[in-house]
Amino acid sequence: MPSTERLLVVENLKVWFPVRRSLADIIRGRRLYVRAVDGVSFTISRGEIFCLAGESGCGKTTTGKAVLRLIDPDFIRDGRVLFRPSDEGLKIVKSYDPGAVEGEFVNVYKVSDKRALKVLRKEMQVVFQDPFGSLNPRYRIRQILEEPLIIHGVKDQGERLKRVYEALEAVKLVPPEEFMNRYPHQLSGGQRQRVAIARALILNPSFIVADEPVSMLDVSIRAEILEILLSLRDQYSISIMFITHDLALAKHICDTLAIMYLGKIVEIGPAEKVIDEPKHPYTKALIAAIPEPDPRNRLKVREVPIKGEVPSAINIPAGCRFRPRCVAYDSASRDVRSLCESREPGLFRVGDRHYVSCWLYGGRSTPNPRP
Amino acid sequence: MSAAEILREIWRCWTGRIALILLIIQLCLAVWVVVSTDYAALSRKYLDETAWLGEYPRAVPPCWAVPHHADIIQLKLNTSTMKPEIVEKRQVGRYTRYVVKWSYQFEYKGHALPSDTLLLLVVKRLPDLKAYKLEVKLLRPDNSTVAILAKTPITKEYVVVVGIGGAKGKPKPVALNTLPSDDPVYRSIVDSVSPLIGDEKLLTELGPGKLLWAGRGGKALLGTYEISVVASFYVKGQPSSDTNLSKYTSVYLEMQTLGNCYGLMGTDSVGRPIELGILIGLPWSFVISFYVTFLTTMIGGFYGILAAFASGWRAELLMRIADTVYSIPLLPILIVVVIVTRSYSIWLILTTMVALLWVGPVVVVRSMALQIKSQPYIEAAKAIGASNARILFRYVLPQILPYLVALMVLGIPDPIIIEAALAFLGLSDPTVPTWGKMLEWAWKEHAVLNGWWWSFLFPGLALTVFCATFLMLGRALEPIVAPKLKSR
Amino acid sequence: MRWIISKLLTIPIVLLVVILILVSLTSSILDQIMMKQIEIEIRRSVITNPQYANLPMEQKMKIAERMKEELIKALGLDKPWYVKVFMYAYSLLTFKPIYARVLTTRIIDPGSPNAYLIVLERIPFTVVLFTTSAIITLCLAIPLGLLAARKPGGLIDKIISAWSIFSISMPWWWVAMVMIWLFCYEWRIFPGPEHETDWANPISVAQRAALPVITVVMMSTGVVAYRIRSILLDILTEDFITTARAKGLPERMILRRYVLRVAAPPIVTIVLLSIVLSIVSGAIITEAVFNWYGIGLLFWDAVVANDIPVVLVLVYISTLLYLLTRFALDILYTYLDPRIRRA
Ligand SMILES: Nc1ncnc2c1ncn2[C@@H]1O[C@H](COP(=O)(O)OP(=O)(O)OP(=O)(O)O)[C@@H](O)[C@H]1O
Ligand code: SF4
Ligand SMILES: [Mg+2]
Repeated sequence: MPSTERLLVVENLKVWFPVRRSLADIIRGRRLYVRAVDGVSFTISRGEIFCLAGESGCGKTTTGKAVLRLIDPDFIRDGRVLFRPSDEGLKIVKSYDPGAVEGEFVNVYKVSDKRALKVLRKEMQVVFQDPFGSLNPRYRIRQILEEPLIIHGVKDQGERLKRVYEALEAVKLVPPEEFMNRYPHQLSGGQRQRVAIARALILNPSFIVADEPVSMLDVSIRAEILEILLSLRDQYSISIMFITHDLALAKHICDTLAIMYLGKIVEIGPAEKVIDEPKHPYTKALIAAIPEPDPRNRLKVREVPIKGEVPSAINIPAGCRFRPRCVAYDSASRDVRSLCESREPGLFRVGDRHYVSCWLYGGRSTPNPRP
Repeated sequence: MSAAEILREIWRCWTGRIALILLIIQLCLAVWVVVSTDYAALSRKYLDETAWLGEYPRAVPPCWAVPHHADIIQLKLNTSTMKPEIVEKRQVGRYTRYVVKWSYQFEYKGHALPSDTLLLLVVKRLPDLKAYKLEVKLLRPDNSTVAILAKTPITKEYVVVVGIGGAKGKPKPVALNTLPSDDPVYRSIVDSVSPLIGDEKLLTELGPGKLLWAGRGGKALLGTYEISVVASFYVKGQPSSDTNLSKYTSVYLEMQTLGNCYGLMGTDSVGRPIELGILIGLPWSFVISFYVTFLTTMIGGFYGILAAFASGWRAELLMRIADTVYSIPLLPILIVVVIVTRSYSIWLILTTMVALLWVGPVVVVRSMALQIKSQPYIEAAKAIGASNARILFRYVLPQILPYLVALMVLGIPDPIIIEAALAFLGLSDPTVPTWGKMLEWAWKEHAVLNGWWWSFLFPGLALTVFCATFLMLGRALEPIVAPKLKSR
Repeated sequence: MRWIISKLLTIPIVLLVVILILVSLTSSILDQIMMKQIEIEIRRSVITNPQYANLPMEQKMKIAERMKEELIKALGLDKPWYVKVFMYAYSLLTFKPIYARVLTTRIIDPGSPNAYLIVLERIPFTVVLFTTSAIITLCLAIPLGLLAARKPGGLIDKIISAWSIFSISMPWWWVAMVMIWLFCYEWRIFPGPEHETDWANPISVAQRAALPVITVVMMSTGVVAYRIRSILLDILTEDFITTARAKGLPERMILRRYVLRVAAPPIVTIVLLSIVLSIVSGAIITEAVFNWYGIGLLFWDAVVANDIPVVLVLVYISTLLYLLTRFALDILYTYLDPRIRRA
């Protein structure tokens, strides 16, 4: 279960990718950006499973990568990412890159020293969606798993082998010797994803970003992989940022759920709360679109309360970015509508640790960004 | 994929099999030439036009292309070891006049004329002989007589009458057809054959070296020939019964017919065997093509990867530079470089080629590297803290390397063909025997006009086979090593 | 648009680079050429000038010496080399006349030693030879490529593959030698290259053109057909073709309606590009073998005569032509291919 100790703090993170401009744009001096992430704030505590959900293209993967500093710092438009490393890690960062240390935290994008960066690389890990692409096809499993150890200076061959064994056992690829000398193409998708998890695990990280780790797998093996991931939290109290677009799954595994729309978090709160009592019109639409678990109701045509198409992340609508698709806007009062059109809503508190970015809930209280 | 697996894959398709066999043959030949001969001396000799006089027939076709072969006659007559026939011995005043004849009979059996005849005639005489005259005649099967040397006074003690090289060194025989047409030997032979042949055009066409053996219509005369050397002179004193005349004079005559064909591929206009030239050119073909393609693919490949991993204006700049170099036309620049620096050094030529050809692989390699770069496992490598260099050398390069090898193999023909073009313009290294240079020689000697097809056909074919080997190999290799690249 | 502009910008850059390479390589030779021109000028205006006829020789020499110095200054020959490089580059860019050492013109203003004229009068012959061949090549190669692509691995495909390999492996000018030997001397079908031709008379030019055109067509058709085959095969495996097949359209209609439309731009570009490339590759030397009065023969003539001013101008002009035609091709390609225009 999550502790109250904060492990990761993201404040107003913006990731903008510049778009190749046409000549006319160059002449007009106009710069265009894909605003993939456009002001995102959240915190993750030690041992917490934090879910990020939303439509395809809303910026989930970009957020995940940005947190891990896998995005070129040139593209980070604004905001900070603070990560709290282990005590020895903090000491190393302090000695090589004191400018990046803020209290117990390290400002991820201020780290410039390679050795300090290595501390972050060791303690923050990632599991990608695609189990076919994320393993180097030319390496044997053993080489793939040894690679992080070699990079992080584990010189002793026996020690490395031992840790490879342990990691393979932890992801239930047993007996390890049977898998170690295979190439990725000799494994099934589920087995490959386990190798990817083992690779993330082998450096004993305290934080893992899992980017849709099961969406490309057969339904039958998803449960096993999820189980392995959850057991990591229980055993090592690793925090996991779980990216998904499957809300039913999110409810099942997360502590906190954040819903993203077009680069921004529109609703965030305890998973059951967000799913059982959704507040934001977009969340409501998403939940209405979850397939009905009850077979008797399957054939009933349900109305999904949303309209239109996802706008491009280059031309984000002014005011509330959801307005062109919002059905609540149509029936809202005149005051709210004028707010919707003119100003971006902040995050408004609607319950215990539950915040929504919608003017419908912002009338009374003042905008109150989550700490 | 391991090298053995790749080889097996190549062997599976028939073009690959042919290419591999041809490659092995050519490699073995090249190694054999370099190892088993004094390669440097041999190529120096091959490049020296004057070194081949009399060694082989000049401008003759390969033997398999000639229906009738000429007879190879080789005579070495030294009168001091021969029994003379004393034609005349009489006293004239205080002197005795001698007319002495040495003769030798031989058969000419070939049904074709030789391409030329080599002749060496050296005379030694005592200084106190008077009015020494020498005559060399050829009595032919049709009973006609050809005067090779009309009665000629010899005044010095030692004279090379026909041949190259004089007082110093050993004299060498001369090919009769290379004599100028006003040479007495030339005139004498042509004049004595002309009533038989009749046709004035045929006379100049065949030349004395062939006319010696030619009958009516320019056909070869078969049968018994007799060559005779007749010396006449006066010796002070009474005629004696002494038959040992070699104390007065001795004549050395060497005669050799050059065949009307040579070997597998004939000879060029100065008598160099074409097959030898092809063998000598082979190692250089390997050197030229491998030097250039190895450097260009390595530089271009590395540059392409660099351009893929650079970002922003750096990537833009790198591609602009490559684009600019790509647009520089190669041959004109090469011509200017060679002409202007007056350095015909092969290394200058090859290095200039490298300087302009390295852009070849850049675009393809860059797009490949971009594709690899976007693979999730590269992102994963970054996430575990792999440095850029490590990603480049351990992840990207091993993927691209096999493809670079295929590119290299496919690029082998270019430098050879370009070098040949330069050679054809006369701009090649004078110390390097290449096939292109053989083609240039053939062209300059009007081989096409003269119908000496062997002297340009075979070097060109050698070039074609060499290039085609690598193209076939490359085409067999490409689908094996190239990951499927979507264009655009 | 952005793409065209950037391509357009490459032309002057490349040209500048090439000119700077040329000029810095040749600057010492250009110096000599200029000096020679000065000497000729002086001889004309001093030594053989009747005005000075009755001056003593010494005086004449003095005047000549002074004039020489003045001219050297005026022409900037006393400047350091890096200044001269830009000077010469400028005079090349502005097409200032350069005089050949040996060669002269034969058609335009016969007998003129102007190197630009010498090059210019030959360009039409090269253009005629290679464009005629290109048109014929295209007519032959497209059906062949289609046939080969229809049955990959079939007999026609194999023939074209082998043909293209051999075409790349052979120097074209060597093939020209073989062709001349066979057709002109062995079989006596065409007039040989030594035949006198009136280069101003189109009919005799056409007679002379037959064998060169046949040779070039023979050498380029295989390569072009093979490229066409590869392009077609690439397109045939794309999704929209599979969709069209799934819809049950007849194969011929798919080829005509879908494949050819997409394949046309790259095919046209490849054929034209191969012609343009032949101007600056060894293929041009084919002309020298056929004694065809074009640029390739001029390369040979100029190199054999060691006429460096002509070589210089020739390289400059052919680079210019090459760059301009490549640019035109790029534009044509953009115009033909809707996919690029949108991007
Ligand atoms: N390197 C990049 N350069 C330019 N645009 C990018 C880049 N990476 C992502 N984007 C754009 O940013 C937006 C967000 O992409 P992202 O991959 O984060 O979405 P996602 O929520 O993970 O979608 P999915 O559920 O499909 O994985 C998209 O519009 C994408 O095209
Ligand atoms: S702010 Fe307005 S437009 Fe936006 S979601 Fe709420 S109601 Fe809809
Ligand atoms: Mg994603």
